[in-house]
Amino acid sequence: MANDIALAVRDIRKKFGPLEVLKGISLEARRGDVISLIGQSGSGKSTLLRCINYLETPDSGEIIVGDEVIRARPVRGRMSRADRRQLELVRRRLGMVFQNFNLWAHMTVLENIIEGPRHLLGLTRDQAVAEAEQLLEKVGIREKRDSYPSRLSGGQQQRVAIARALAMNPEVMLFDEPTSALDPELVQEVLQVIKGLAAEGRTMILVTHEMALARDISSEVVFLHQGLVEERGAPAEMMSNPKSDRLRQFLRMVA
Amino acid sequence: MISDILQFLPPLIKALPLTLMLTAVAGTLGLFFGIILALARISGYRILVWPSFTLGLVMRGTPLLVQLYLVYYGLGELLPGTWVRHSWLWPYLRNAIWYAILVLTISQACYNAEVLRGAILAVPKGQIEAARAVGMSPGRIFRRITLPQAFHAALPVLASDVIILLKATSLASTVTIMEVLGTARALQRETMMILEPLIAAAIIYFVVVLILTQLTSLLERKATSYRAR
Repeated sequence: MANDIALAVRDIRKKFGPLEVLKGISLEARRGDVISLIGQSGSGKSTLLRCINYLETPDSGEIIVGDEVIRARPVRGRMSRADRRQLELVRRRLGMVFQNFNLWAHMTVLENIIEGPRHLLGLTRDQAVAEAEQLLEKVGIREKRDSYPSRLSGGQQQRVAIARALAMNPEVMLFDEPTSALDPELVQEVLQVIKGLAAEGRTMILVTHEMALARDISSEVVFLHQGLVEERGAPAEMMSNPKSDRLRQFLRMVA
Repeated sequence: MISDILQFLPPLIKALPLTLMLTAVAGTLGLFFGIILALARISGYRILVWPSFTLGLVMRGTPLLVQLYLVYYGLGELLPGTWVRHSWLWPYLRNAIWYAILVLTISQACYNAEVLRGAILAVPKGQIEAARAVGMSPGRIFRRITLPQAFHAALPVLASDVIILLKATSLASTVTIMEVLGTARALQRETMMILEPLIAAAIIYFVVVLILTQLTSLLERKATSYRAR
């Protein structure tokens, strides 16, 4: 069923100068799917994720959210979004969590979370605050609601960032190496939150180096190598029985 | 001598509102146009970058007094020969205060633009990206994310520029404006006393600057409370 597809990525290509980072990649996430993108640094997985919400503009290919295609057209020989307003509306349906949290430093935790719902979704302050408090409860940092990001640990900041993304009620969550910038002892608290979201049936695309996480929560694991999908499949099968040499090597390296 | 100085204080305090008005108007408009100039500088469009860069170079590279003379006497020379002489603008243009406000504003805008440009560029890219990812428009990102942080970062320099502006308004006395220094000069002529009116004027400027400094440091502490200690 077509309307079961939450996100489709069709034959995305992207060059940075002479370097071809993505050489034609496709993905399809049905509602509730968790797709993990794994691979060495430089394999293109983060770029692919950033192409999904057009933080990077693909040179060719299509991104389809629900049944809406992000419209693009060439401007002076390079592809560009065709309709800024359309892109802004599509982005509201995609929650993004960054490696470096990227919380707005001049706003408290609560203000970070209600900013989008209030000004982009048109909620009243009271509605937005009520929802934000539930989300803070969910990510386990309700007591920090009036703190500024600079007063929080990395793990706390990342959990706020997740709450901020969830506050927009996105159809798909995008995670770009959400635990890579964290001190080892803070990784678990963020992984717990991500696992919780998977258990709720959230549709998620996840770039990660945490193989255990990818194995536990993914419906599909996609292994990228030099801008191409080298291997993809169910996590348990792929990880215990890799078909390609490259994936075997990669798994040995990160194990 | 002390009693002479004290006797000059009341008439000078009466002139203080004009000094404060010049500072407030040129300071506010200067900040507004400073933001626009800073945006023009970093826009990347050559037709915006080039004029804003040149204006800043010229205004910051020449003395304010020279600029004031050029505008006051220059425009005063040129305008009467044009259509402006018979337009509704003319009654205003005969008043020196508009020339002073014009020059002070542009000058202030150029200094503000310089600080703001750096402060805007220093806002972390990741925060801008997070705002784009959530679906904010470029205008909203600038108003809600970039400008507040740039403003907080620039605040110490912006505040000291306002204090410099306050003192620079005294130059307006050279084009017949009776603000604090202009009034002091008139008192010199009336009383034939050279030093006392000037000392009284200096005291007034000093006290106002002192108050302003206190206010701005209070503001700074509030505005940057979110930063890591």
